[in-house]
Amino acid sequence: MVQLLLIFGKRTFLRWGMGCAGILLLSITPALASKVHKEKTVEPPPPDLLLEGGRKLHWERTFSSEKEMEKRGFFGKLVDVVVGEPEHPHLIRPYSIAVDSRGRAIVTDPGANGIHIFDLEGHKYKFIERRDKDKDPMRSPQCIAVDAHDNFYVTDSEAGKIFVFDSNGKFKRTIGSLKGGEGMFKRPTGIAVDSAADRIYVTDTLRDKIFMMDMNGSVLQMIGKKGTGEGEFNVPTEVLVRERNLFVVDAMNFRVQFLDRSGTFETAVGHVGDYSGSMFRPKGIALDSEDHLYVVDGLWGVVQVFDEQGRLLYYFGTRGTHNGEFQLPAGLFIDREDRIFVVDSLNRRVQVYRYHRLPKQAKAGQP
Amino acid sequence: MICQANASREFAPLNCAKAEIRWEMRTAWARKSWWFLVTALLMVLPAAAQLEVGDNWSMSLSGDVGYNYRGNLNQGTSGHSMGFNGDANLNGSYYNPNFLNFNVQPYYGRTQSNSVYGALTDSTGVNANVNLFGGSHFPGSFSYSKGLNSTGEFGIPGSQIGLATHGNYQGLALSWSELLPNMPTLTASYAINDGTSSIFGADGQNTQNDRTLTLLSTYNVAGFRLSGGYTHRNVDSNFTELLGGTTAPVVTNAGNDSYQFSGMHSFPLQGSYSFSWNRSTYGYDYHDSYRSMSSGKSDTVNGNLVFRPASKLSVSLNSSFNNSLLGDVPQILLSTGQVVNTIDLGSFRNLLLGASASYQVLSNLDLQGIVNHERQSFMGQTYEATQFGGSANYNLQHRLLGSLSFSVGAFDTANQEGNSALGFVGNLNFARKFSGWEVDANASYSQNVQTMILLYTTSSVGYVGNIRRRLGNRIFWMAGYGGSHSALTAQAGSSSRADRWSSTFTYHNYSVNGFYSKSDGAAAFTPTGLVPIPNGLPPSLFAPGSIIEYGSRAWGVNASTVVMRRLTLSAGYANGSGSTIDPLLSTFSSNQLYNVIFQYRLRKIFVNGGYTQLHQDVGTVGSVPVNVTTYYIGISRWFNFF
Repeated sequence: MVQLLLIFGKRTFLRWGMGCAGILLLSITPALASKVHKEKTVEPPPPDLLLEGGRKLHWERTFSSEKEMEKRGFFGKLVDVVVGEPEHPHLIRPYSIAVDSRGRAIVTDPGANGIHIFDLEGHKYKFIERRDKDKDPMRSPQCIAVDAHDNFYVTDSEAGKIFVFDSNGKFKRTIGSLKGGEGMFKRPTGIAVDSAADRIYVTDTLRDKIFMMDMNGSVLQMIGKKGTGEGEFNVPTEVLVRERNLFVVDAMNFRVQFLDRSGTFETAVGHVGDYSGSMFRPKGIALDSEDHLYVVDGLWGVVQVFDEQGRLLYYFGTRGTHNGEFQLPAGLFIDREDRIFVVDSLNRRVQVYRYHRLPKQAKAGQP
Repeated sequence: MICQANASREFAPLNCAKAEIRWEMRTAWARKSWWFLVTALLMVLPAAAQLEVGDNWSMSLSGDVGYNYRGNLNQGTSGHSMGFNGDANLNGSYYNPNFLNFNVQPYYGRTQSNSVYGALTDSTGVNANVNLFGGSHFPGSFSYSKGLNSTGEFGIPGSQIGLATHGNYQGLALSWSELLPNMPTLTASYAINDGTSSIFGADGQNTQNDRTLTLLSTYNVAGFRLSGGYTHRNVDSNFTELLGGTTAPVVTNAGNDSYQFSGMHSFPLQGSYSFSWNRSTYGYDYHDSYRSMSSGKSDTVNGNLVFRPASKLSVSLNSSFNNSLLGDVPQILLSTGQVVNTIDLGSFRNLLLGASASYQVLSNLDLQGIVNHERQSFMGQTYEATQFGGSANYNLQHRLLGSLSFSVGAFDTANQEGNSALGFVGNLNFARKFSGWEVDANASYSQNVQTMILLYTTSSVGYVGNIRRRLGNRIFWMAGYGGSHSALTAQAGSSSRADRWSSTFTYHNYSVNGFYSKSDGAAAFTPTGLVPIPNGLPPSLFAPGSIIEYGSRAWGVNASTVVMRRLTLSAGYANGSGSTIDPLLSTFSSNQLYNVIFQYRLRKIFVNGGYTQLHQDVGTVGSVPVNVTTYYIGISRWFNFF
């Protein structure tokens, strides 16, 4: 009886072994084959944009998924060959971006209902989502801002709240959550954090107002009202704080308004049109180290750069799918090294440029 | 040389033993060679991924390759085996997807391990289709499907589950068109469908062979839109005598030829007039223990005029003449695959003259009025009836009432014996959200509605209701009920009824649903199940024995959950029972199906396991209940070859 079992066991083992060997063989060969096949296409970068005075705009890279962050070792590659590559989380409908002090690009993605953290230098990736949580589920993350401690603040336009995460991506709290779980804001979109002054600024698009709050979420002031005049808004969607100014994208008035910290109007840039220097669907805004204002136009697929007087300096990008081209670009962020991150929403990627500013000596008039 | 298979090797003649050894070597080699063949094939596939077939070819191939262990227990006899299973999906085009595109999906050894349903058999087959010259003046298509040892269902009207079957099928369809501008167009198509199935627990096979040829031509000339066509359909079927209650298998050969011509032309006052002619000829050969043949033809001529004398008023006049109304019935039955032996009431002429008008009173309210006069001659008698009627249609989108639409109508029919009973029709649709409750409902009602035979009117009622509520984050509950009841007025044995309830509760990763259904009525056998007789045809029209009365009841529950990330588990139980009554045989069938499936996914590797148990009793004379148990575990990997 024991012998019978052993014989049966041997035969079974042999057959299973052959089956598994077959699967292993199959696993390896197509993977190798497809590897050779896929290495054929590498898209060339767009040429550098040479600007006045030796300034230059250089296209650096694009990223869209966890796969581009990873460095796979031999064992990892072997596992990939046998069981297949993992499903790398991918940008689905990215909207806004911020870069923290560690150089990590944090991208909100309403399509994926979550937030992607790309550690470009540490080659790490993390995805944060809260849609399945019983308490404070995150439904549609929209815009993002980072404070001095690398905590990041995310507006949820559907839930009407602001979600706060620490630098490791751990959920800390919500701002604007009322009793019963409802959100205080009607449709919060743009957000900016001023750590030095302990202030949070949020655009409530449906209310046509800017909320100024302290770091605990207590509303200190509401700025603006619906209208087309100075200091009035028609669908404000983005806000940026820099030194003494607030910059607000007044989307359906086709302009960016400059306000002081108390909300008093100072100046505005932009007007409606379909030619250079005009705006049709202004989206993300950012300032470089020379205080040039960058404004994304979602419909035309360009980023326009204005000086402090509102004059168009140059623009880059066009509608398309190749490197250096955009389809419905939205979010924009410029870090301290003048790297420009443009969220190319419909192309499901982020494109990175580097702005080479005027050398300091030359700017100062020195030889 | 002949060697007895059961002769032991010790006592077999030497030359016989040598022959046996050679034979064993050959069979052993044959057994092993397919392993080599499969391995070679699998090695070739990835290599092919790199083949440059040509610049104009565009192809993609993906699929699963797996290995599984499966066992079964059938009436106390156990068996088990191991082997490969897999499927593939090849898509491609040449030059341009419009010029030529194709899709081929072969599968081998499909068990529960790579199918989404609980299969009792390992099936193998292929589905393929090719489209040619799309968008051109001569587009064509070709499709082919074949399945071996596939699991199916012998359907019962109104029941959620039927009797489990296993069998083979094969289908082929060709279509080609000529679409030259300013010329008559022509579309020709031909389809063959063959199927063979056996009900678990019943002896014998049911087979059906269906062939259809269609030619259709259209032409626009001098403002006329003309259309002409020819359809030939031939259905041969054979099903086991155990189901029919006959002493021999029921074999039918039915053929139908249909010719049609129609035309339409515009008319002043935003109107149009149209005319059509249709000839249908049929031949029926039915035989079990006795044989009957019938044949006939039917001609129908129609004329119709529609115009709008005012912007809100539409008027329609129509007329129709048919020289053998019942000659259309075999065509109707044939389209549902039904098997009946004879239908004969002699000559049956029908003349219809009618008029209707529709007036839009408000943007969401319109009123209609009709008057019809019909004259029918059959069985040496002439029957005449005049019908007057009116109806109103109303729809409303209201903040409080939600979406609401309804229509009501009433008809009065007068014949030579005076006024018959009033007829009514009504329909109601409703959808509304009440503080978190989503409700929708539909109800329809008809009473004493004229059928194609003047002597008969029919009444029916149908209702559907659904309710859904979100109870919390990722917590849902929904329930639904639907029912229908119809009968010919004053015709015993013509009623049919069906009711069904279902409910689903979802709590995060857990989901439970259940259903209950019951039905009864009159139906005819087809090789693939029972089919209700077309509404409005009285059972007395059919020959004794060709129509049966059925009753069924079914209920079941199913639960599924994602136990942990990438591990899903589902389990279900279904219970069905049915009865059939006809003059020759009464049956009581029952079946119970247990099914458990799990799947674990690691990247592109899938580990699947399942257990299915079927207990089925067909309830016919000589049949015994069957118990079939299958279980399996397998591993497979998905590839995106190119």
